[in-house]
Amino acid sequence: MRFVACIKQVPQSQESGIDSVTLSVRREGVPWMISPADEHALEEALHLRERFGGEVQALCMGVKSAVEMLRYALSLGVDRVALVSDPMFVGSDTYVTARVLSRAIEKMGGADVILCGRRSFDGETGQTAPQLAIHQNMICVTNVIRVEANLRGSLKITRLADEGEELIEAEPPILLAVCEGINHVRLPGIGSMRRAKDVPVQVLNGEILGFRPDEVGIKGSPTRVVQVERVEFGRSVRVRIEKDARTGAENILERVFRASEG
Amino acid sequence: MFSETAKKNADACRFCWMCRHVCPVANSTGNEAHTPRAKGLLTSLVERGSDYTPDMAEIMYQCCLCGACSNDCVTGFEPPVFIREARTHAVVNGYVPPSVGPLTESVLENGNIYGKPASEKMSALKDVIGNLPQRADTLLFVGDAAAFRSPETALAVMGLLKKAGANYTVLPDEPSSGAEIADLLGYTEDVRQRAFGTAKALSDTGASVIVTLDPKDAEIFMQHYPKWGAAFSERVETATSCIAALVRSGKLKIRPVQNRKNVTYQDPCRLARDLNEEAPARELIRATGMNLQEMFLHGKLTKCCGGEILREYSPQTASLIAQDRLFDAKRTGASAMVTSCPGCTTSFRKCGDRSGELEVLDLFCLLDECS
Repeated sequence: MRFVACIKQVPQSQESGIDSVTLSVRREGVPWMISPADEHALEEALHLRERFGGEVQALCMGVKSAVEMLRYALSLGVDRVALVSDPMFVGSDTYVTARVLSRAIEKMGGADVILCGRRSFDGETGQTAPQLAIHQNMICVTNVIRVEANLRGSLKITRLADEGEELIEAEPPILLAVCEGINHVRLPGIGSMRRAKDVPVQVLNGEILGFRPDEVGIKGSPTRVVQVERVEFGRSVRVRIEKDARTGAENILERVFRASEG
Repeated sequence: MFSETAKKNADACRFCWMCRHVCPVANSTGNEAHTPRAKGLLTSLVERGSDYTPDMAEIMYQCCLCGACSNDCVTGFEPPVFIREARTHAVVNGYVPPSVGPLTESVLENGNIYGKPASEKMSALKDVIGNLPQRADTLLFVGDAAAFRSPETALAVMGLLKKAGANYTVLPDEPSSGAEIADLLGYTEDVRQRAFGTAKALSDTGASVIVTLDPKDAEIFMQHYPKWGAAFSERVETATSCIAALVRSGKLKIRPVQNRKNVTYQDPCRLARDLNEEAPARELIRATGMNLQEMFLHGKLTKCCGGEILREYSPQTASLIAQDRLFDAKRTGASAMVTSCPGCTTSFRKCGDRSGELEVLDLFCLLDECS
C-alpha cells in the first residue's frame, strides 16, 4: 500500500514574525520544526506501513531549507521524500497548496492513504487536507484520533466530533487528517539514519509539476491577505479605592460578586 | 545535523565559562577541549558549516553525562542534549573512537556495555532468584551495573526486602532499561524500542511497584519511558527511598553499628540532580548510627564518580575523576565514603584510595549488616 504523509515546516515559535511584503509567516532563518499534527500524521503512516506493508513517502511544500526536515523524516524510517519548492509558489493559499500537493502526489506515483495533520501550527486553517482529498477524489476523515486496521484491509477510524467521538469504517483510497496526540512519535534510529544518508531528496518545482506562474503563488490564490494585525490579549480594569483600603477591598469584592452573578 | 533543541542549547551559552569549573572530566584532564563550553562551540561550528570529524567525535565521548554543567548554568545551557546527539552522529557516520567501538557493538548486540550476553546478566543472583515467586507486589529491578559488577549490592537489597517481609520478586531474565545505550548512542529509536520490550516485561510481572537499584534506570523509567509511550502503570521507586520508607514504617529494623565512624556520602548524579532525591540515603546512614560529614559539593552540586561507562573506555580519566572525589571525601575527616549507586561503588573501589585511609561502603551492604 502507498502511504503519503504531507508534512509542513513551521517556525518553532509563533513569535517568528510576519514577512512585511508577502504578509505570510517568515520561514527562512528561524528555528523550525515539523508542524506537530503533521508529525503525528507521519508517525501514523509509519504505523500503517508496519501493519499493511508497502511504502511511506513524505511530501513537503516549502522553502529549500525544508530539505533538512525531510532528511529527518528519512531518519525516522520514511522510504522516499519529495520537496515541492519554487519561488512561484510563494504566497500560495490553501486552495493552491492543495492543488500543488495533489499534482506532486500524482508525480510521485499516487497514494492509497494520504495522512495530514488536522491543522498547521502556524496558519491553523485546517483547510488544506480536505481540499487535497477533493483533488485526489478521496474520502476525507478529519480530526482522527485513532486508526485500527482490520484483516479485510479496511480501516476503523475514530474521529473527534463536536460532542463525543464518531466511529467510521472505510477503505482506501482515503485521506486522514489526524489530531495531535493520536500516537507517540518515534525517534530517529541508527539504522534509518545510516540509510537516510544515501536517499536523495527529490525536488519538484513548478515546471516539473506543469504549473504556469499565474496559476500558483499569490497570483493564483483567490485568498487576499489585506492586513495582518497583532492582537493583544487581556484588558485593563481600573478600580478606584476610596478613602481607605477596607472600602476599596469591599468595592472590589462587590464588583467581583456582581460579575460572577451576572 | 543537530536538532533545533540541541542547537538552541549550544547557542544558549553566554561565555561565562563557569561550567569548566564543575566539569569533572575537564578538571581531571586539564584539556580545554573537554569542557562543556568547548563541546558547545564544536556543535555551533558544525551547525555553521564545518565538517563533523572523528576528532570532534572523540571529544564528545570525553564526558560522563553527569549534568553538573547544566545544574550550574544560569542560561539553561544543557550540554548533555547535544553531546548525546553528537554521539548518535558519530555512530551513524562511523566516527566512534576505537576505544568506544566495542562498547557500542556490545550495547547494540547484548543491551549491556560489558561484552557479555544478556543471558549471563543474572547468573550471580540466580540461586536467590530461583527461590522467589514469579509474581509479586514489588519487583526489584537490579540493573546492569549491579548485576555485572556489584551483585553483592543486589543481594543486600534483596536481603533487606526479605527482612522487611516485602512480597517481592526479581526477573530471572531481566532486560536492560536502555539507559546505557542512551548514554553511548543518544536517545534513538533503538533505545525506545528496547523501552517497549522492557516496559512489557515489567508489566507482565503484575507488580504494582518497581524498585530500581540503579538511579540511571530510575531516571529513564520515570522521565523518558512515559514520553516515548512505553509507560507502565506501576509506580517506580528508587531503592534508597523504598528502604527508607520500610525503616520509617518500622517494617525494617536497623541496629546502630558497634564501631561508629565519621562517614561522608556520595550523592549519585542522576539521583540527586535528575530525580531530586537527597534525603532518604542520609536518613538511612543516620539510622546506622554513623556520623555523617558532608563534602563541600553535595546534593544537587555533587561531583561525579567518573561513571561506569566512561571507565569502560577511558579508564585513566575515570580514575582521575574518582580520585579527585575521594580527595574531597578525605577532606571531610571521614574514614569512609558511603555510596548508594552500584556504578559509584564500583568506580570508587576500582580506582580507590591507595593510602588506605578511606573505606568505600555500599549503603545497602551496610544496612544489611545492621538489620
